[in-house]
Amino acid sequence: MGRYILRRVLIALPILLAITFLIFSLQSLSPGDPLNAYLPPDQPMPQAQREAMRRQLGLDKPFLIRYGYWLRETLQGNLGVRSKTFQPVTDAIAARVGATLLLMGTSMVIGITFGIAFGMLAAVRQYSILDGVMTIFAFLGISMPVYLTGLLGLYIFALRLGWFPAGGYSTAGQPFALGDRLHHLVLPAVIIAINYIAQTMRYTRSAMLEVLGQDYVRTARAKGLNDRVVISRHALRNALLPIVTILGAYIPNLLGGAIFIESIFGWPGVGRLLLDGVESRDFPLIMGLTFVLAVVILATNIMTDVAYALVDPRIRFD
Amino acid sequence: MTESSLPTSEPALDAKVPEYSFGRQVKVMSPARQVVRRFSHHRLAMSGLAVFSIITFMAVFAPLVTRYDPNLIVLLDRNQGPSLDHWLGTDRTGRDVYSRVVYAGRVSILVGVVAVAISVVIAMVLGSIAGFFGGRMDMIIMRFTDVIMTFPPVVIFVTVAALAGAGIQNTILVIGLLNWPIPCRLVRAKILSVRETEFVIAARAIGAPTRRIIAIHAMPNVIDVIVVYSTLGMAIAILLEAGLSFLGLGVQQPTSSWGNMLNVARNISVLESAPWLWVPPGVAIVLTVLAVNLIGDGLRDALDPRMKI
Repeated sequence: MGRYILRRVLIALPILLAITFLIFSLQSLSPGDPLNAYLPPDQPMPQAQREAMRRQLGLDKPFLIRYGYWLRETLQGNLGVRSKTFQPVTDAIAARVGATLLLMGTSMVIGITFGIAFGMLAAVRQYSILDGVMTIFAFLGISMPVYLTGLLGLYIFALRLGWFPAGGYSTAGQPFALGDRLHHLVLPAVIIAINYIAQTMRYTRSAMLEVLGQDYVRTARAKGLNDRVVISRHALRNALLPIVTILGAYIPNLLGGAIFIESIFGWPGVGRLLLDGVESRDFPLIMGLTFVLAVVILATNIMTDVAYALVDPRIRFD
Repeated sequence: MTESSLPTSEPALDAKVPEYSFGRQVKVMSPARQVVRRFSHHRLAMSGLAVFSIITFMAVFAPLVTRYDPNLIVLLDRNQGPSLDHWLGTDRTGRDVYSRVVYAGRVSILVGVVAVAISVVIAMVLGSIAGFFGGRMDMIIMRFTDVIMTFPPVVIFVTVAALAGAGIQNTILVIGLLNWPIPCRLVRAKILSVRETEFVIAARAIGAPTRRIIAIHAMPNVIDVIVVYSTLGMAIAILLEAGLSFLGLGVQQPTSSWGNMLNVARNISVLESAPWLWVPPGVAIVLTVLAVNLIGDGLRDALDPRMKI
């Protein structure tokens, strides 16, 4: 077990290195003087001073050396400073990460709960009207991009019906209150979850249908157990095994959804931070954020595989 | 043997005679015909195909189905709601929304087709090399695939699009060059199983070069996976283009794209007061993607229902 995890981590390291190298080279290849992100070109400043600044920032060094610097500092926990505000990148990320985790975590719980429940219902009543309605919902859920459901949700539930606030993290000028936070959280979290529900539902349905056709389910039925016990004890438990894998595999998509939803709802998370960085061509921030996100995703990948092996004793570590 | 070669004088034959009656003519369908038949009996897939055909037709013949130039600015007519003159109203510079939606279909279909073509070609080359040669080659290619794949798609697209610069060309390139890992894995898996079949071993035994074995024997067996992936990949590409343009990182004004038409709705007063600006492109995206997904589903059922995509 320990050796398996260690091996997975060792494989993940070169991948991480390759990702950072890729983004770093793209930054160097992108047109424009990188100094412009720190000093707007229209700012009156003698050329000599600009060059001094360039040297101070290390921007005059060759590409590989700059990448080496970045790597060395990153390994020591220093991601540099933002180009506009000179705020440390780690601080900027730390200030935003909580909001994103809250949003994604809530969406995940909603997505898993409803996805599995709906998928189970659809499988148990295969070819019923309920199954048909849910299949259509799943198709719509997969075909509707999150930015569109976000706009629609904001328009209908916040602007027209007024059930939820039109974006934001909390009501301005008021001290923190749990109820207020939840009120702001529900709409964006549910919207991100729609896609998740649809995917989990389709997956659960097919896993469930496969299990329901197995001999041990027929045996359980033949024994005279009632439907409820057969489905919850014999079928669902086995159907849940493959579902564990998609729970982790879906995290990158959740993060993608968060970018759009944070931008639409004005949610102060890392997604919006990344967009801010991209708009102001804040290279240290982009670099730092992609690095942190890559670590998170690689870690969840490994955790998913370990979790899968833990819940299914048939899988061996080797 | 096709239908036309059936002797018309014995109409009872095709219905009554079971398949094992050797020596007599039996109605047999070619695999390709069976696929077409199964697809055309798939009701959802056929409606998807109908919707997609209409959208493509309107996009290709856009000048024939619209009355206004999509980029014609008429400041006097700006911010109008839907009317008989402007079916879907006008935007804040007086451009006709209906025309813009129809012309934007060209962008979406172009991005979808070209981006998928790029990723499918990369996937077929890398996937067949990895699958056929195995060993070190396979490991290097698959690790490289992991690098591209582990990344949250939207995060990397946003970053790369921002660094590479906006515009249709770069949007297509970014989407095409980053979307090949999934089909690459599919191709590799298929090639791995084809490699062990008797006909490949036979071809090798008579001394066919590897290049020929891949091109003549292995590739035809990969086609079905590629066909199904292409439709799903096109849906993904269209959604990504719209997403990037929605964030202002994809197709730029004045060229209209469904994504950059949605972009104005990021302003909450536009969202509230001018739904005719963002609902039509939104509906267009959903209809197109839904239609493409339905076609893909039908193709999979028709080609090989057990295919895991």
